[in-house]
Amino acid sequence: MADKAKLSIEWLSGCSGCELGIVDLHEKLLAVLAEVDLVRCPILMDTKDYVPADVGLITGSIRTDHDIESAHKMRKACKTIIAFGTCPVYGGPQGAGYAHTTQELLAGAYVNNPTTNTDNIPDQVPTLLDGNRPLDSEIEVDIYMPGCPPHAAYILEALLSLLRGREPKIGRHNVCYNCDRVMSKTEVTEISRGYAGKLDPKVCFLSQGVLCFGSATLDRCMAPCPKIGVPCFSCGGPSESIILEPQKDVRTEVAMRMAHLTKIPEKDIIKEIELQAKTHFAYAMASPVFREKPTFLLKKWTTPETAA
Amino acid sequence: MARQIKIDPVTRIEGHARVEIDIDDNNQVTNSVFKVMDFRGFETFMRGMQVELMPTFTARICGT
Repeated sequence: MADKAKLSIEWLSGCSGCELGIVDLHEKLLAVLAEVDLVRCPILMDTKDYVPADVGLITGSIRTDHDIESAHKMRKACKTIIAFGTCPVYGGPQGAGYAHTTQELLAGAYVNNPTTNTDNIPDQVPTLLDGNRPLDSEIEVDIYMPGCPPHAAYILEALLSLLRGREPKIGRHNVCYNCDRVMSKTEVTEISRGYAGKLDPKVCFLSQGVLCFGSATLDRCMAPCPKIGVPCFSCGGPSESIILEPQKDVRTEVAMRMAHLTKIPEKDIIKEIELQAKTHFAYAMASPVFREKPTFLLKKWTTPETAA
Repeated sequence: MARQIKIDPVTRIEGHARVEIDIDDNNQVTNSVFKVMDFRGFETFMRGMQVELMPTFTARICGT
């Protein structure tokens, strides 16, 4: 192989879990580093400049004016930009902030907070934007890699296929594909929460009346949560059918499946998902893919009048 | 000579930060400020979410 490709990493508003996701490659990381030179990675190196690179990997969402500036500097410096992780692709967990104004978020942290002694909102830091936004609201993105973080196997396949100029062999299944639980028909008549009572570890959450969003979520994780008893909460973003078909919607898809497996009426399930929308839609709420669907009415669902 | 040392960004930490250190004519530090550049609002938007999802959700504050 000729010269090594240069890989530059930048983070915007995120948690650095995606950088840890890369470390999850363990010894396979050596195979990647044999083919790339890491030229910038703030969590690991002291390179402060936006040095020219072949591949620019951006984690985190656009939340501040500083994020906008960094995104544009990366786009200028890098030939290929990867939106790496659910934050740059769909906005990530901070998308739940969509249920509030930016002023409410700031006041909640700095003013109306029992553990904060001052009531000053910091003013010498980057300005917060009105909302949380995915990366492609600012710059052109070449490759989208959702996942919170993406599983190491997918990261490895994506990077190696990119370096070698071939199509990545990455499936477009939903989370159920890698989940071991069996969907079976039951006589369950009520929705229950994951912590209530004893659940069968071998049976699908939906069959047991517990909301799980794996069937409407893209598998970029290998289903670790349902394997250890935690229902899927869609951190990888919507499944392909929901992305591609405007009339498809997480709540109706999940409700339809759950109603089919149990004796719970579909409309009750839809109502429950709407009431808990802030939880269930958080990770992708910042993305127009979700938010601009005609069936997504978060503010209506979460106001007390409608909920009553 | 009075001067300011500015480290922007601070690297090899988790998150975005800036450090500014003011030094006076006698080479004494007169002021030092550590600025955290990141804000997402977890304190507020987590209110009203399902409690059983908090272990997985709060993990996303820092490092999954």
